[in-house]
Amino acid sequence: MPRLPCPLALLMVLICVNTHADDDHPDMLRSVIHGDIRGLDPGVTRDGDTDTIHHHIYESLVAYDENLVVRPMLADHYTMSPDGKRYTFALRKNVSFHNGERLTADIVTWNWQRMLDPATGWRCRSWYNGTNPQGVHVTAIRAPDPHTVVFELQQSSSVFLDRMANVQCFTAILHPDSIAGDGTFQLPIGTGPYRLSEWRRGEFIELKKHPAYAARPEPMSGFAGRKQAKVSTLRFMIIPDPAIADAALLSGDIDILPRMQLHLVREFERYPEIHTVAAEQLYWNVLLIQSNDPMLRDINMRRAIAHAISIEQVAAITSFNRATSNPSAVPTVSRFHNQKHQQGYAYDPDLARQYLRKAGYAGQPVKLQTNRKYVFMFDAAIAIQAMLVDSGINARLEVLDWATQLSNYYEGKFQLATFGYSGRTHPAINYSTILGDKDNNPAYQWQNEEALDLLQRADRSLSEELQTQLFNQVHELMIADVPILGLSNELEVDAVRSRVSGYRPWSIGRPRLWGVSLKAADH
Amino acid sequence: MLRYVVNKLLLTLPTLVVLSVIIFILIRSVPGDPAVFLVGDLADAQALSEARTSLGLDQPKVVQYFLWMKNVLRGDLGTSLMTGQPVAEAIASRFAVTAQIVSIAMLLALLIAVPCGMFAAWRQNRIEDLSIMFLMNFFLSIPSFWMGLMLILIFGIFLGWLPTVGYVALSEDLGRGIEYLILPVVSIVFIELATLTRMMRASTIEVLRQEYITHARAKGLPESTVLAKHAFKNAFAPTLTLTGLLLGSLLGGVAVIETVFTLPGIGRLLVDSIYARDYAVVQGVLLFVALIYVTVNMLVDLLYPVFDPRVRL
Repeated sequence: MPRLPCPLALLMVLICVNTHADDDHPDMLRSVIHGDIRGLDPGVTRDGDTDTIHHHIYESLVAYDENLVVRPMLADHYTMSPDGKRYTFALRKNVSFHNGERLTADIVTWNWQRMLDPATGWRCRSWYNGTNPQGVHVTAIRAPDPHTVVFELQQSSSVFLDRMANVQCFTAILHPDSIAGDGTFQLPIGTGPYRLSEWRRGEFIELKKHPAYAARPEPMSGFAGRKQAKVSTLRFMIIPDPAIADAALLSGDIDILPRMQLHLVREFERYPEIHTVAAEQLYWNVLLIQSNDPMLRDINMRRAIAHAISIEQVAAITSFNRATSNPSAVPTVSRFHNQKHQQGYAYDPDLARQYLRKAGYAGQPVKLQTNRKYVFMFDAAIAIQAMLVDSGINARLEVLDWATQLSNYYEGKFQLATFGYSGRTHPAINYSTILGDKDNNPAYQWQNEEALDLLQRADRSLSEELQTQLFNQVHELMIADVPILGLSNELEVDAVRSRVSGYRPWSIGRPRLWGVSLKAADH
Repeated sequence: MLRYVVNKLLLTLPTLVVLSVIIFILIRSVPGDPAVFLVGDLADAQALSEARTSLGLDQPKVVQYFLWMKNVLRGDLGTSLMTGQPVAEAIASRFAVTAQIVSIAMLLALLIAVPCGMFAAWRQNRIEDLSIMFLMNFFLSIPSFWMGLMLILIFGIFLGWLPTVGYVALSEDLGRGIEYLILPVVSIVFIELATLTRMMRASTIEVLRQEYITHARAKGLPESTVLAKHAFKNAFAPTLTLTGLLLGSLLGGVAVIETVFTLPGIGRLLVDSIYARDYAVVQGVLLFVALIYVTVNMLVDLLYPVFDPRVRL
């Protein structure tokens, strides 16, 4: 009887066995992140994907719920003194770290001291140490008993809790054993529903269920509420190429594909084993207009640009008719967003031409920077260039790689640029990203003392009604100054295989895999 | 031979020094601030300034270069600006993946290309030769990323036989390791097959015209013996040189294949680092790749006398 050569036989066996299907991972939920994580030290080494992992491992005293309202998380509840200068957090008593030790007030104060220590390199120290005019100044953090932590502020602040719940500047509470004797980070020991099992650089991050996790009783909402780990293992596959991520989802090698390419949504909806879920994001797409540029310093020129662009059309083009426009820095999903924030610039090429004449514009080229890394920025730039040219502005595209464009942004080296601001949860934080002294920090897009004053008043006000009025006024000033042209808030569409149950995206954008379960394999 | 190796290694040193300067200047000439990536979207002037200081980017460029070289000479390639991982550790783990895939693919490509090239040369201008060369030209004209995508589409999605993403080391699980290696290895084989086959065919045609081959045939030796014993050694020498060049280049990273198949290889590490302006990793990887290139080609030179006794080192 003829015999197959050994390698060929092995190959055929492997091909017939088909071991990579879902059946092989009955209790492993596999999602995608688009790049490797930066590290495991929250708020120190981070980016968007890194935040996603951190929020499964660590928790903070408070967290945002689905409606962007701050709720207690490690705190059982909190109170604010009548003058708004003292916050008292009563800790939950049944919280344990991944190493089995209990959460105490001393551990919380140790964490905050570490975060505020310059040696740690925590990125948002200026939010709390009084050096940032739009931040707060925490003057003392005390632990009067093992289950109570008190924060003393120099001045009242409407955004203290919002900053504390901020997703990017994660105020995570780590166990002290996470840090080595020399102050360097060594182990991710948090209180979250999952603990780190394995990080294979460039391949995947695997998390395992925290067996002693004590979930809150409230329903799951945002990063708050009940965080029940329903699958034993989470694996975040690092897949940088979107086409490969699509292929992996179709083949069943992954279960969840966050932020899928919008042009493929209709195609994916044809597959019975895949469904899509969408959520409007806080992410704000904009056209930056450099008001320090000799040509664009003239407000007539900036107004001409604003009236030459239909932000409704740009939003429709970049989102395949799924997102609506938003001229305001206050996201459409924010409770502070109202009709006032829908007021922007009417699309009126004739008016744009009038402003061009007033500015004495004689057809000089205007460079519009963009990149190919973020599809919406590139698509928006193409649409905007066409509209500007249509109104008589000699707009020229300058396609850069993302690193170059980002550096130019921080150095103020551009005339026009399509850009996006990642989700800020409170208008005060949004405006503080774009509003400030441009000479000291060229990354600020807008310099206006009146607006800055209004913003600081909103920061100090404890009345939400007054804050809303103040943000309305800031928006009016922004529209008058034209330092930036708001386009839209991003729409995120995630594709999910049918064996996944309970997954839904939300406005902050970081996928949450607690509360998600797996049905029988769909292969 | 030992003297040859020592001389070759000594000659490598000035090459690496010059290369280090070029690499250092080039990566710093590319616009883009690593501190911006490190701080991310939380950057304010203070945070950026602190990040630049912590990365040593506030020092004059010449000082930065000499600090880097001083550390390199001590065996310390530095630490990734982005992940904090030691560069040497990152290179070692990523190179292991690339080396595994590339070595298997090159071996397979040679096993196919050498007999195919010799057979095509033997049947020169006949239907067999034309068929082989048509096929090889077809493979040569397919871009590697497209080949990878098509393999994923057919074997990963339509047939569902093989995984589309991920990697398992052979040392960890032989069966699954092979399963994950098939598609990337096949892609590389297809890319390199045409080049090697064409070279083998051309050199065999030349050798078959030599008088000693006519003499061997006149002795009445069967064609298989003429080809295998008399033609092969001389015909293979140029293919070996080409193999060295290809291997050096592939070991330096097959970034496209590694990206398509999400393999954590050294090519992807380099590309990601360039995008993130991770100077330490870019510099370390490029130096390492240069060293690999030199080493592989030196090994090829050392193998030369085995195939062509006229060559003395």
